[in-house]
Amino acid sequence: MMKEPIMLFPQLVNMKPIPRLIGSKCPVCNLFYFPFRVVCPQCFLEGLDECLLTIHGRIKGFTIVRAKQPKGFPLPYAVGYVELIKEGLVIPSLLTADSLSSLCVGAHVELVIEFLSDNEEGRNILVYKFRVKE
Amino acid sequence: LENLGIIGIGMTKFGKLSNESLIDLGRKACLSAIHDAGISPLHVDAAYCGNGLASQLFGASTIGQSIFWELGLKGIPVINVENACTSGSTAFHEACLSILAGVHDIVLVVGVEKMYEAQVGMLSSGTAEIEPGLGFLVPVTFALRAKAHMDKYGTTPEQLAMVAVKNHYHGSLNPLAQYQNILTVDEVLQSPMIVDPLTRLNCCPIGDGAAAIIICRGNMTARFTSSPIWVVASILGSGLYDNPPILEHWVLDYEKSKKAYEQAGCGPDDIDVAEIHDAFTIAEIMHYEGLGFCAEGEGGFLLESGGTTIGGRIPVNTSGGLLAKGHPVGATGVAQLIEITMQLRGQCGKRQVKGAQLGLAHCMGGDKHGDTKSITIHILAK
Repeated sequence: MMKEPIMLFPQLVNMKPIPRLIGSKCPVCNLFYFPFRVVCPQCFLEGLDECLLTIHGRIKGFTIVRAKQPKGFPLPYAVGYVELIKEGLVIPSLLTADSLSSLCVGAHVELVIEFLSDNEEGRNILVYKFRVKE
Repeated sequence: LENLGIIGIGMTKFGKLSNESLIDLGRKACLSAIHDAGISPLHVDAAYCGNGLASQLFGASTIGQSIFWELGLKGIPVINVENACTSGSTAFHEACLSILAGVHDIVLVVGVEKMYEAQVGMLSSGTAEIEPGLGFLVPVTFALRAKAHMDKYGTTPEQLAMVAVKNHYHGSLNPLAQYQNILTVDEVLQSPMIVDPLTRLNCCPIGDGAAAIIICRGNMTARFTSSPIWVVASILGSGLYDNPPILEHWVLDYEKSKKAYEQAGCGPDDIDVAEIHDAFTIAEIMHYEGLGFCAEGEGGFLLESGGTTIGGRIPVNTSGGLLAKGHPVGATGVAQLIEITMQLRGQCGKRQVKGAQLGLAHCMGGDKHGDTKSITIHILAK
């Protein structure tokens, strides 16, 4: 029987109705943060509101890891910073595309939940990534 | 800060030192610093130990006490400091503060690390952050910075490679360096690609080693030496974590070096020799700019001009730097200060910078949200 897949960093993602990343917003400064944080570093307000972030972004910078990957990461893989269009917030993410050669700075990307690898028990590990829009 | 004098230094060779434990390495560096200073362990009022990884790699804690026990030290304050790559230089900074505060007169600082035995491979900066879990190995953030610097300023892969070539040349003149071999630009470019555009030889190695320094209240140095090296600036800072992250340079380099120059009463043009944090080749180029050795964007040209090679305008990483001398994480910050001390004392032999009067040591540690977690800058004077 197939075992349930495991989500890497489940606390970062709200799965339904569509997967969205969970950040926080300071109602005073009107600034967004990811991952979620409790205290606003600008005005030190405590108890920031949780908010769901836009799934649309642009690649701000990226690179491709070709050797010496962390355990369970299939090579090569792409990582970088994504600028979320609505919030203007830049966040770290794995990046994916039909072909890694289509990655470029400024490319439009969209949040997806994708397979990363199998763990030692053979269970699928899923992770959030941003995928280049074709 | 002319109230702080370095009166003793000692370090082990850096490299793969399989027959020596963390404690052995620490003891050896401390004893050689104590002998160099001409003091007895009895004179030491407090002892600081910088270590980055022993808790992670060996499950060992409070290793300072274990090392200082070997020297016969007992009863005195012992402080263990962990601050990633700046563990050793943060320990040094804290030791300086304890003298400036009037609490201690003579303080021992050791930085120590053992990385080969535990087979760490490529470091991640820890599991408490999301970036390592998302595959952001330490070289990833430097690769992202390299690409941003290349895009904005036209820095080339050849210029990156030349940092490794220069530092290996310098390392070949340092008997304590991990690597004694000379490299060519082609060898660096042809080594296996790790993270675009950083090939293996653009990355520093892991290593074992220890380094120790004795600091003495300024008005007491004459009891031990006629030529102490003065600590004229000691700065510690942590990340700004700006969003969006700025990748082409570290804002902290500019801010904290300005503060260090103010404290020392000098400017970047007055610095005769510098040790800066070249964990990856791109970092050295970016730090030239951030420390004011050249204008923003011109780091690649400064390097190419030979300005930072021994004999140039401002020789950088005469020890071989992290790239060639090696990078036992906790020892690095102290070892950088030892190289500057040796340069100012005129003890560097073939790699001596002639007439060096003022030197700078710069160290950075950890990554978070596109910024470094820790920075130290020290300026030493003859």
